[in-house]
Amino acid sequence: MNLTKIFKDELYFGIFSLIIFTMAIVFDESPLEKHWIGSLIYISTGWAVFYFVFLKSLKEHKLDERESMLFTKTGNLSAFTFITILTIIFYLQEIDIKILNLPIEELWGRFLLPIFLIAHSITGFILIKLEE
Amino acid sequence: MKNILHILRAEQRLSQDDLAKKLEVSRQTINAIEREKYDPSLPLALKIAKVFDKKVEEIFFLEVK
Repeated sequence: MNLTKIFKDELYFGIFSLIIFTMAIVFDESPLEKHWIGSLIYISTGWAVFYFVFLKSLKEHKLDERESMLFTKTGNLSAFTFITILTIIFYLQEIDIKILNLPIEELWGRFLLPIFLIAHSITGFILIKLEE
Repeated sequence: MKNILHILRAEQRLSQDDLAKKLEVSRQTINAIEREKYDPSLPLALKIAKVFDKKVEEIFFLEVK
């Protein structure tokens, strides 16, 4: 199985979910806090789709030993990147900025999945490139 | 670790893809082993040795400093 293809699929899925979640905020006229159940279902669906489409595919296309090692390395490094991004977001919550007419503290949770997928895939590409 | 995998593969007129299929790994893994960017695990090294009917130490060498 081509690891580059896995990371490409992951990046496309991340960008696609980023667009979908952004559109949901842009076109949703009601404030998020009035639809917390809806938001929860929405985000849960996103994670479920991610699991069944991406992780299941990964399980079916077994990685060989080198690809497994690279994938594990990618996970470790992107976890560090992801935690750094979350820490930055945590402090940005105190700033009075609105994105898509919403304060950051109400917004960031929606984008966890796309941010993680994009960070993970880019980290994977970098590691594969460094190997060359 | 150094190796002569590319030489053995050329002698048997095997492409990287052919060898990858025999060893049940990706072509990129064979490429990484030949370019000495990746050292195979012991099971994989033994499989490689079996394909070429050689001993592991005849294919892979520790770098001499």
